[in-house]
Amino acid sequence: MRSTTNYQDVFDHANDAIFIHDEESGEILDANRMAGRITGFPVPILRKMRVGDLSARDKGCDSLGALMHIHRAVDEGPQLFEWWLRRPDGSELPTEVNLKRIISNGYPRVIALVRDIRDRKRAEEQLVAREAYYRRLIANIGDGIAILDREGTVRWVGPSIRKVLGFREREVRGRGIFERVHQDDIPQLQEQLAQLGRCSGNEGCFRYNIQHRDGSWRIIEGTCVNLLEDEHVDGLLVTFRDITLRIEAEERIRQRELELSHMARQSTTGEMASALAHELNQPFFAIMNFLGGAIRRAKAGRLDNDTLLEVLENTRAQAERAGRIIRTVRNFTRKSNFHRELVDIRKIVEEIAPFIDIEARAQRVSVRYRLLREAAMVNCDWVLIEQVISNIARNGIEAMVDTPIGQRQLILNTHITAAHSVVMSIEDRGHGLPWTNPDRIYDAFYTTKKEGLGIGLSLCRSIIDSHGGHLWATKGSGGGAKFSFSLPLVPDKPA
Amino acid sequence: MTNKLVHPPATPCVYVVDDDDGVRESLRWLLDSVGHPVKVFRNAREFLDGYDPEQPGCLLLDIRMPLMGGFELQERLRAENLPLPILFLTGHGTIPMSVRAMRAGAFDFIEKPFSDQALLERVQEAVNHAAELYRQQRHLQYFNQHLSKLSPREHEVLDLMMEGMSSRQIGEELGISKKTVEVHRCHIREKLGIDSIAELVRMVLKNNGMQG
Repeated sequence: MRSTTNYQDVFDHANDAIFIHDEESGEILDANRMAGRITGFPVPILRKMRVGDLSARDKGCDSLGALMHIHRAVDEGPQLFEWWLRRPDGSELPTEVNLKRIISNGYPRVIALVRDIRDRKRAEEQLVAREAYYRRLIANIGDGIAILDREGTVRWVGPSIRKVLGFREREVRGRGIFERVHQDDIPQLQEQLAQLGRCSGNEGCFRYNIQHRDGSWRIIEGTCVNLLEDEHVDGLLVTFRDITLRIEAEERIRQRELELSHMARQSTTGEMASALAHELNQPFFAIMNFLGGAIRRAKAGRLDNDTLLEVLENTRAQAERAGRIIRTVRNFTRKSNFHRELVDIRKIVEEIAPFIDIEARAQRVSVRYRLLREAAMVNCDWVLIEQVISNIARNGIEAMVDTPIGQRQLILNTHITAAHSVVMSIEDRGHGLPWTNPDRIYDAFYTTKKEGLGIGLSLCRSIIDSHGGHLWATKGSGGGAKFSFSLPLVPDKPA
Repeated sequence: MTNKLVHPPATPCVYVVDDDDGVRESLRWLLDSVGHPVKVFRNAREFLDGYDPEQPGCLLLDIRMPLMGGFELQERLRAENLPLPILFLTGHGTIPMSVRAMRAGAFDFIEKPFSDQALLERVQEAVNHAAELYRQQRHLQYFNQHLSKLSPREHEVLDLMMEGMSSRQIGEELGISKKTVEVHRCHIREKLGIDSIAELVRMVLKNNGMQG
């Protein structure tokens, strides 16, 4: 009896709500104080109620459901589930119910321990809400976000990858990023990842070309933090964005600047050549007129000795005038001789290459450099030779406007000849040259191409000539034009 | 057919305006060698002071000149309605200028240096053109002078002739006999020195064109 009382005390003062159900009908046989507190009904009344009367039916909790749980506890053993109570004031309360079959006073019963899980539920809801919040954030930022392992395999990726690279998350998860990174960028990127992976907390920035789902190439800029030791991340956290448009805009600006400086240069030489031509026109025109007049008079027998002498003097004066003009120009160009220096021609090509590449890319031309392995030292004006190379390369690129994309190729090649000179050739796959007379190429360009270029080409020839070299044109192996120039080699050791 | 309008052909003079002494003198020498009367001027102003608008001529004009440029001179001549064919001498790379010159009514342009033969051919064409212009102008002047000699009645008859009326119709229109009309027509022909109606119509139209 005493022990019964004891149990009754424990039952009444337990921290959990306890109900005793009939294992057959599920009716409430007994309930403790706590049961009264959490259900909001006095205990004596509880004993006359059905479970469905205490439950939130709109949450799917009713007498039938309760009875199923009770029967299951009888048949299968202890049950643990969540249950919503509905209190007289209309409020609903989440609980966790533990059902267990017991024998009480010789009768088989089912005891229900009911615990208020409002706090846990709230915390769970908050967690879900917060996760949803972060998910939304991640989904809506323009940048891509991903967690990679050391090898570059995507362990997790945010939904924004769709905006950046067109892929759905599941298409990317588990794949290696190097599958789509441009092959030229792979070695450097691998190196960077390896370096980052070495030490926790390492951060790095990188840029690479990667193929969008639609097949186009995009320039991606990313930042990466090593969070391998962070138990929640356990990887390399990468944020990345498409900077193709920015780069293209920058390139356009750079190209524009280049073009402007090029135009400025061209127009300077153009104006000079034009002024020079005009200057020389005058005496030559006069000479032609003097001679024409003299010949006509002589044919008509109307040319006496004095007149002849006079016109010859006049003609000579004009010829001298032309000579003076040419001397002025020569003095002007001779000044550049002071800038001669000993340079490796490969260095010149390397320096000008980025500029050629920019122009080539704009015209979808691929450029190949086949440069000497060893140094080829020439004594030259660095800037002028650079001008020659870029001028010819530019001509070549522009000559390929009508060549199908994919076949546009510019090849810059250097080789050393037996005659101790280095030859630089620039070959295109363009329309080729007018083959009537090689000497007329300069004239042909002069008249058929856009302003400035022809002058450029003839100027190129003068520059190379003044360096003791030659400039010539031949048919390229691909049907285009091949311009070559030679420059005398300076031996490594003075002979 | 005695056409009193045709004057003894005056040989057009070739005017050269160029600030370059060598070019100027050499052109004088070349043009003179084939018998063109030549007058050379250092600049546009000298030319305007020195040339005779009463005489036929053509002009070889350097397109780039200090003081008054070739274009300005062209404008000036056009404004004064002087029928002077202009051959522009252009230097290197002045094709846009040449186009402008042609639009403004230049006869032709010549890019220096030029073959002397081709130059002389162009000049000859310009000279021929100048002679023709001159002839037409004299023709009109002459015609105008004589037009003023017609009596008011003769003017009326002339106007109706221009409308294509026959002598009978003109007589009916003016209330005079066909015979009288015939007399007026005869006077008109004599006073204007014209043989055919066709020529008369042409001259009157040309005259109106000049005035319009």
